[in-house]
Amino acid sequence: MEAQTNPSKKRRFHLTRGQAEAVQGYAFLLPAIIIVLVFFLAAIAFALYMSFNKVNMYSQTYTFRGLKNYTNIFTDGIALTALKNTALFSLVVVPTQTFFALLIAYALSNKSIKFKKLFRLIYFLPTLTSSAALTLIFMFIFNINGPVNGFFTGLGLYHDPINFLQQPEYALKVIMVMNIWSTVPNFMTVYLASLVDLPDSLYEAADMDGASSWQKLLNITVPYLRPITTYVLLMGIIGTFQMFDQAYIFSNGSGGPDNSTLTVALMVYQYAFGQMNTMGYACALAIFLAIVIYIVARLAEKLNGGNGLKDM
Amino acid sequence: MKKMHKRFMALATVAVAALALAACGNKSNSSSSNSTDFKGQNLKIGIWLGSDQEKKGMSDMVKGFEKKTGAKVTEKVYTDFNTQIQADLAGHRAPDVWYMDSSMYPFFQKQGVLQALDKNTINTDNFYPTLTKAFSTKGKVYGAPKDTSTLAIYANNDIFKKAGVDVSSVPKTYEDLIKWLPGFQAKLDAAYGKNKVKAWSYNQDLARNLYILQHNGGTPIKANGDANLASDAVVKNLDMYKQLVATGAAVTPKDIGQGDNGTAFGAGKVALMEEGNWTYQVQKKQYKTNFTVLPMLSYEGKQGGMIFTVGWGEYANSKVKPLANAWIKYVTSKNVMKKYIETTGTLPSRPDVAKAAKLTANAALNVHLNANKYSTVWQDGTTLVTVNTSYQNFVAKALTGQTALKAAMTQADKQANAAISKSK
Repeated sequence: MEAQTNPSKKRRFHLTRGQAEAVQGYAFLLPAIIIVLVFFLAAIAFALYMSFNKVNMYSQTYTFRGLKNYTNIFTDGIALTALKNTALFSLVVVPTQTFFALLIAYALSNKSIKFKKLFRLIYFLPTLTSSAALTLIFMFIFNINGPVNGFFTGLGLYHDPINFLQQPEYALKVIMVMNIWSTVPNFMTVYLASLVDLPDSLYEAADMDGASSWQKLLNITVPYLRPITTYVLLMGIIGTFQMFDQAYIFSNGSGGPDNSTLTVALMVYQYAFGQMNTMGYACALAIFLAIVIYIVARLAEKLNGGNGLKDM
Repeated sequence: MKKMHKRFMALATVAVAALALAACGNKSNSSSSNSTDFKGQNLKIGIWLGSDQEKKGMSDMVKGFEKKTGAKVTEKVYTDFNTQIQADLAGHRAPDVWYMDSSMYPFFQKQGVLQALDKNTINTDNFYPTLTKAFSTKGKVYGAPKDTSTLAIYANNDIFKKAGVDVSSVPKTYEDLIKWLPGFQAKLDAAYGKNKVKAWSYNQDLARNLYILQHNGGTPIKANGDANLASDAVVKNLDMYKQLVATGAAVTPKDIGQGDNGTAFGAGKVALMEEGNWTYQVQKKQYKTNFTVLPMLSYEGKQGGMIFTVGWGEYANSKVKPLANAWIKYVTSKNVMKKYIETTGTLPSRPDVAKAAKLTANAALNVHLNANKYSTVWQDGTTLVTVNTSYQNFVAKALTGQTALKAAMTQADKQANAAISKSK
């Protein structure tokens, strides 16, 4: 040992260039690594640990209960109701927001449109609004005395105003409209950024062949944007499956009326911070949700075709 | 490479240790636990504030206490109390004393986070017995009631006048009310246009409905904490609300797009409401409503209502318990409480303060004070909040007749018990 360490002692501060760069690299990475370790990996590991235990946060006691928290998810219908709501929400919101984002981005990238910057600014505004404020605004708009009811009864579509916020068949749909309205601009910007790079020559060639705008959109723009679409779909799926704040404010945390706005994320919150010591079950639900999101996201990526994000 | 790795690890260890030391540096020195001189000590209080008046009342008390003891009081104002206090308790960083709603008390007590209060800190003889009982377990008192609120019926005089109905004709029982409401609604419709002003506003909330559901031995929550809303006695009691809704004259504030009873009443959208005394000052000052306060109604010969009380709880792991005791004693003392309730418009938890503040001379507030005699404290074991969430989720469709009462309450029970069973 002695013989081995001696030669290196001489060269202690003479690292090779590669070594020096490695030290430098790690030094720069260190803050990020610490944050990732503490706030992501440790938190995930702890959540995983808690999901196999019955947890009392007050006395800090953990009782191992195996897979019981996970099997509980399937034994009562509530988690499945929540999952059904969440899946329906995602199924409606994700395709709609992707479609509108693409359409608006295509329109705004058109060279002949004037005041393009103004339009972009206006369209982007909803994304800048905090979702809590937005929910309250929509609750006002869809209020029984609100403008939407006023507009429809004014048109004579129906006579008695509908209580959109209190009726189970409408509540989740109002949140869907709100979510689409507020996320479209964000994804539109993503599409726009990519459309700027689309070579004009493709459109020019199509023009020569006498293609219509619609044909150009379908045969040039959409295929060109496929990797971006994959990204938009993934972000959309993740965002919708994790929807919490809007449902929470809308139902005052209860997921009502009649469980119609109960999402999985809201249920995680209810079990984690309710009056019960069910943090373990909440963790199991959260991990279950993560797995569901992963599976759905992979499916969407496959359905969209291509190599997904690798194309980017 | 291996050496490098070692040196790197050593460096990292030193860095982490330095960080840890720096973090520890902030900790204040713990004070001696038995001192009576509080100079230089710090008391952390956990509260929520419902109005500007409450803010003023609290800051007056803090100033008075700081002057008297020389200690410093730090306020932590909670905005989402039940969630935030749990995080604080789990992290062992809870305030030394905090507000505790009567409905949450059994839960805190069961978790062992509350310190029992001694005779010197709280003399139970000074308080309304129902209120101290709400914060007692097995003969020990764990909370000092800071104030109380009760429900009463508020009638809008101007609306009654325009409809040509005398306020004194409002029935005294729910049975009569259900018969009386359709006629009254017809007069309101004639005066204001159809459904512009509703006769009665109520809430679909156990915090308001519990005393009715408990009528005639109804047990919405079993002794073991399980939800029991679908039991025959409870469903039969709940039918009273169904009949009320069937009159077409009773609405919840949300049915008519209003945030709460007080807003609906203040905006002139309802003629009568069942509401707590916190609305008294708001109606008077903010909405300038012209109203009469009437006692709660009887149901099957028994008058009832709800009592909401908040107490001061002391953290079992507090480092400054003598100071915390001194605080609780100070804020619940006669003169300090008198000043506080005069600022906030709440009702005192001590009869002697009610007398000193001449509340009995105010006809409206006297109705609220008298309600203490017949009302039920908002409290029912450790699972109340869970059962209430479930109840609120399903009661609407039951009362409108979309689903049978029994079926809806069975669903509510199932959902609440799913949560309760997971915590066992």
